[in-house]
Amino acid sequence: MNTFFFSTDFYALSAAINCAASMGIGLFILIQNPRASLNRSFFYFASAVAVWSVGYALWQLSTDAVDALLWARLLMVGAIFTAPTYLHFVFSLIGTQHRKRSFLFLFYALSLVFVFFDLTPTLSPLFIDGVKNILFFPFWPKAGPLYAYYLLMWLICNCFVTYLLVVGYRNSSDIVLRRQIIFVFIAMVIASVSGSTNYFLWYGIPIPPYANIFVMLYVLVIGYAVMRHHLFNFKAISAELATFALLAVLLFRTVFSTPSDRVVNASILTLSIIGGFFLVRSIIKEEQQRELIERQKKELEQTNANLELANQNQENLIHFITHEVKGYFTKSQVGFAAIADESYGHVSDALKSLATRERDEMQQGVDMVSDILGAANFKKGVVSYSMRPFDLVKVAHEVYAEFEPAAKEKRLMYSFAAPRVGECIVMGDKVQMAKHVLYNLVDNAVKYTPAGSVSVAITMQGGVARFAVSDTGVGITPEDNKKLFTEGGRGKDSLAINAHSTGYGLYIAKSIVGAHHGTIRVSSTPGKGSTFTVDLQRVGDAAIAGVGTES
Amino acid sequence: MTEKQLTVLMIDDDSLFSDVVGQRLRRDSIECVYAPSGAVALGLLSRNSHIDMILLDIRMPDMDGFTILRQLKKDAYTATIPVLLFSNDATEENIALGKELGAVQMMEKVRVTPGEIAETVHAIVGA
Repeated sequence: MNTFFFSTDFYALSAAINCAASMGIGLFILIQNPRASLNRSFFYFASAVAVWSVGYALWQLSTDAVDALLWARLLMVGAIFTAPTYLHFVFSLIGTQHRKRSFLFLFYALSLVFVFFDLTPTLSPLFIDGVKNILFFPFWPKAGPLYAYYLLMWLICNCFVTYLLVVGYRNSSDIVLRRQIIFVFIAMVIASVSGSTNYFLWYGIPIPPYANIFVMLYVLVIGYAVMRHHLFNFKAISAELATFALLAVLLFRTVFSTPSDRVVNASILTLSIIGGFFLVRSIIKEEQQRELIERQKKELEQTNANLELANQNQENLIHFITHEVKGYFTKSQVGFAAIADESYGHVSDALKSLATRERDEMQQGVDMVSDILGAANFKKGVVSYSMRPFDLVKVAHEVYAEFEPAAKEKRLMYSFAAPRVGECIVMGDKVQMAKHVLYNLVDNAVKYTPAGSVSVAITMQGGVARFAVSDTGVGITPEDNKKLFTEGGRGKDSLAINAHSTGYGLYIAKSIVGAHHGTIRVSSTPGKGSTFTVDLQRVGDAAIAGVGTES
Repeated sequence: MTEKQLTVLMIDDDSLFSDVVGQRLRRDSIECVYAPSGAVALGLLSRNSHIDMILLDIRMPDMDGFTILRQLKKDAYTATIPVLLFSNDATEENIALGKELGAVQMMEKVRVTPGEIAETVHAIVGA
């Protein structure tokens, strides 16, 4: 085993594997899409590596100096062209503008010059100055004076590619391309480090090219980046490569072992092939699942975006319809008002009464439309609040007074209990709070209480101001209670009394109370009545003083 | 007491609303001049007609009420005429903007009656 790794056979075999891998993957990628410049340039690069590998293998297997020198020259043709073809591939990958492409032609031209020196028998010694025996290699080439310039070109080319990759990575917002660039960069580092172990012996430094086998990874990793560019799964590629490398080593062992060991080695190889097959298959499956998840994630994102748009369109439609409907209501309601007002001359009492009733009906329609529009605005988040300290008692009493006539008409016991004006100040939007919260709760209580009492009360508990409306009305069933504060949450019993309820009133009220960092609750017994409570934060003495001076 | 004849300019593309309100105002001996658009209104005013007050709708095609109000406030003559705004979109923002641009008040079109409009006109410019 030890002798195997120190023999030319090992290097010949590793080169043969490099060649097979490069050619295989190069052709595979070319067949995928022969017209794509990325695939074509990859094929050129893989071909250069293959030529280098063929030369390398035959050179290692040579039995005399003449053959060895011949194959070493061929090896160098491939080696020289790896630099420009790799640059070519990187240009195709990152799509650099034509200005920088002139460098590519420069590197191709320089490579041709080196190849010319390499292959011209009379000039060749300037590039490869014969072969010599070094370490366990009987025919290792000696570097001619030009060889250092080739190495310089190789170094400059690698630096330039690194620069292009870094710039490409920075300028790109495409996550796939950025992943490919990382991949290509890793491959380049592997190749540079592995490949450079070949060059010490050229200058008589006794370091053998141990890492040469890894040049194969160069092609494999880049090939993977090209093929599977949509998903970078480092785990999968690592496992595949490790399995492949293990099988390759086991194959050498089997081929080059003594007949007695061969059976054992072959058994290990067979088991490894089976194990490797299942391992790679499971990884491929895992990757397919990953891809599926990725695809589904994308589809979900698209669906969400579509839903968002549909929602937006629906809201816009609501806005449009409600505005338009309001416009038509406007015309009709002024018309009825004008008739009732006798703007167009004297009308009978019956007609006057009809016009007044029609106008009231119209107002209910307006309220409904306004509720829907209001709810849409709250949902859209386009409602702005003007937060200032205000006197809750004063505002609540104004709302209370507004419903006094209606309560009186229904012969309800109607009461108001609160601290003195100026004692209960809260921070908030007075208009929104009065119009949509307090008004709504008192309106509901009066509306849904056929007989009995409605009481409005404000109490203070520490820093909390509590506004409560209690009634002896129809109450709310536990079932209705669940959706009471939700959008369009109309109760069955509420519909029995007020068939035109939109179900948006309490939803809006809750939205407003929430925006004030307060809470709104209900406790109710069906058939006996309900109590709605709104808790709001009172403001401190400084704010109270401010309100005092303002009022 | 001899009352001066008041003239009100109604700028609104809704002819039915203008007609009904105008009818009610005339009953109170208030003269009404109609303009269905901002362009017509500004043309009328430039001919130096004697206008005591302007009733201006916000939502109109071509030139909206706020734009017309801005134009009115630019001219030394029209800037002094009180403007009463009408809108079905009487949001806090619109009310605040109307005030900022110099309107006297904003009324919600869909809730106001011609009688209330007449009362408001009297309260603002009436003798």
